[in-house]
Amino acid sequence: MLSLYLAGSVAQLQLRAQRLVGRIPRDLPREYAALEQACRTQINAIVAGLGRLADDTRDNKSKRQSVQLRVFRRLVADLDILEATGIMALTRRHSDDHLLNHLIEQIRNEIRYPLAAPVVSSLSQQYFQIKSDLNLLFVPLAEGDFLLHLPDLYHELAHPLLSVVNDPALDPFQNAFYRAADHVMCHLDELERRESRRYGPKAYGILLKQWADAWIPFWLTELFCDAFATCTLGAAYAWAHLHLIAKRGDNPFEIWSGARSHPPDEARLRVMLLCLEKCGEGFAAGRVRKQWNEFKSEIELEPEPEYPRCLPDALLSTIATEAKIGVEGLGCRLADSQGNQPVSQLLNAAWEQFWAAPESYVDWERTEIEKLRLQARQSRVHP
Amino acid sequence: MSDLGLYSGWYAQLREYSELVDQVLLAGLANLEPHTAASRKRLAKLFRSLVGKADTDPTLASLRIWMSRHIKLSPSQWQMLSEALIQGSSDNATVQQLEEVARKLDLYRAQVFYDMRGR
Repeated sequence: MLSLYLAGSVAQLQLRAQRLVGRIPRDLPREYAALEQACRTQINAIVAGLGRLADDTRDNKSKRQSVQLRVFRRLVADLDILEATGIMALTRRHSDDHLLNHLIEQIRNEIRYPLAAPVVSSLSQQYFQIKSDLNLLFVPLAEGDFLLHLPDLYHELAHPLLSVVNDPALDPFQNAFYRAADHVMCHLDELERRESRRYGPKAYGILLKQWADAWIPFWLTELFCDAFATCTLGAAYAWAHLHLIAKRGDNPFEIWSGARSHPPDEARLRVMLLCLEKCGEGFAAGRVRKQWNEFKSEIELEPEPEYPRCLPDALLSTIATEAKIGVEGLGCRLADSQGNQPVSQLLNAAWEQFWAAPESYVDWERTEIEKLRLQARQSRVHP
Repeated sequence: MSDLGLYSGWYAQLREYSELVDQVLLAGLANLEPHTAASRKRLAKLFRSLVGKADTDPTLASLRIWMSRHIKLSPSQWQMLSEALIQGSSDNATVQQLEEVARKLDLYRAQVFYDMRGR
């Protein structure tokens, strides 16, 4: 049965892959060339893999049908991801994306980002997110019309710094991540050792297992990306995160949900404040902390007793220290309120303006966005 | 705040090693031809690193943690599996253990895929 199923399904998937190539527009602007090439390369690899699988199934050389099924499923997943990300971005590109692409190129130059700037697409259905292997960054549809969440672009830029392989220029940041991972593992080992010596509630043991699964692939990655954004942009990133917490209404101390991918928001903010302090922005950190404390007292949520065991200050401080060393090792420019960094200054000024004159902020922002659009249009005429 | 960005590095690693185990299984454990040797060596190195601290690749820290917690093989079984890959031993127990590793790894890969992509 399985070989018949695979024979039919593989042929259909091959056709689907070819159809996707056929949908790539032929008149793409130059900034999409790298994305188009990456998509074509990945589709060709999928088609080649399907060809090998078809041969293997047809010849019935292998008795390992379970392996064939796994190979097939991986290829299906590869094509699904590509269709929903790279191909969608190419076929649904919008002229509005030019502003964000212009902005991300400016950010790259300002902070001396060591990789090529990603292509930005305003088709995200889930806030900001980046597909590192395609170097493609998604933002929500209307995000280019506003400034307060644009600091999250800096966070997304950090993901490829951790996932791109074989690039020695990224070693300082990646090695810092591995050192921090060692600290996290020691911390988790210690918690487990203590747990094994006591007769506590079983639920805590389950929680420990969930932390172990989440800490390094997910939480530490996010905390490093937060640290990168804070070190290169400054307080605007912490303000943007506080804004997100306030808007979404999630519990910022949540540590029980196993499906959760992101670290608790409170811990993320703590790392951001530590980074600001380590970058000499203690005053700015104090202002964010004051607003955060007021916000916490309003929402009347408290961390559970396990919370400080999971995310102790000392561990988060080590992570912030290592991340800053990693950012410096990349040769990136740290946030500097005195320096000539127009995008960074604008995003920080936006938050200053927001707090100084909240009622007139929208008008101020509209004017600034218009200026940005004008600059972006001029850059297209005079690249 | 990126789900795609957050998952994709981890997903890529799970996918890579799922594929590696299946490549070895498809080629046959007794197949010591050079084109499969590299895959076998990489896999053997990963399995060996689950037993001791020596020769550990820091880039595989998450994978090591996950495998040691979710695939119930004893240290001596990991060690024997590693040696079997190098020597080309293809006894039934080795094949079954490798199939179990492949199955668990790919199941988790699929889970991460759906977390990343949504159902």
